[in-house]
Amino acid sequence: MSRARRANDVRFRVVGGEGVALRQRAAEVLVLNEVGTRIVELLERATSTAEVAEALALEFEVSLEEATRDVETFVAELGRAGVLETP
Amino acid sequence: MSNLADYLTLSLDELSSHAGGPLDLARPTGLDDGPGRALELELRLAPRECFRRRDTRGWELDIALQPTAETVRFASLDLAAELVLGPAPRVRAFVPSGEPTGLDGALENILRVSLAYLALARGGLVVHSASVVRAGQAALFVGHSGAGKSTLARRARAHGLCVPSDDLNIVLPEARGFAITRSIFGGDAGPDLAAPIATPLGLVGFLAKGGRDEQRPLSAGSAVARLLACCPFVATDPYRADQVLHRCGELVQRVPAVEQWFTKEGPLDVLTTTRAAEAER
Repeated sequence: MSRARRANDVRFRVVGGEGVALRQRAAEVLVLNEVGTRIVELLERATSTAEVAEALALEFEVSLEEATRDVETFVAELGRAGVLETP
Repeated sequence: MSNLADYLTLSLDELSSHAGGPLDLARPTGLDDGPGRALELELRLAPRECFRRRDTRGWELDIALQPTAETVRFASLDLAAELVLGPAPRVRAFVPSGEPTGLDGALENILRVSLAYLALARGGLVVHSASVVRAGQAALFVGHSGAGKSTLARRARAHGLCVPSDDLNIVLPEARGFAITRSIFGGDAGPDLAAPIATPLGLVGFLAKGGRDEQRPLSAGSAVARLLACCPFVATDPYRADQVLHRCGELVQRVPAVEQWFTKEGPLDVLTTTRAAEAER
């Protein structure tokens, strides 16, 4: 698994349990669901997406395989949306 | 996104050296008349050739911004300006000489940008919205052009309600939350200059189209996202985006947020009732 981080022009804040990502260059705002919000939060301090998957598996009581799939899917989706970037 | 060079043939500093002395203007006020809070405006005429001529057919209002941590330079059609923020905010602006008819538009655009930044600096926001005051509380109906703000405002006025503005509202913090201030911006009907100076904000409604009269609570994240999209100028400023995001979060956590549908004939109560939204919180 690779690393992923928030894109430079993206501002992120959790409000009422929902993540709000503001993409400044595109003047676009995205609202993330609970899992997506947690993944972005964990990515802020994790060294790899594998570390995020491990934390997610524990928090949401799912298998590591399932958490890994979720993280990969979500990171790819948010990468396409310009919220995350993978160096 | 446009930049200053789309409107100017020179940089703002070069333009300054070509401009005449400041015009003699009455000192306009900014958000209130408190000491040190007024917005100082210096307006100067500059040669016509400093401003690019544009084909305005189909052109919609566009203001190019160049912010830094302390200043905001901006330009639009026949306008160049710099807002210097701080305890004594001031604007120096340049307009083409020999075209006094464009002065009203230039002044309005100067104030649109300046008040958005000053409101943010004072803990508030400027929001594209229509406000309606009833029983000492204000409801703010947020939406872009075409969302129904003017229609809603006309209905509210027809029922004798005060509509401080159906274009841009200034929201500032108060002891128990936020308040709508009397606005200087209005749509077709203009702002209501007899509106209260400040009215506590009891509801934020996000206008939706759908041919029914209904309010539905909106999640905080969705409300922040929709509010951000209606905060002009500051939401895309890289120096202030975190602050704007934080402010929108504060506002929707302190004021009930709903999605608002309305029809031209339905009961007006649905527009200004905050109790339903509060009960859901």
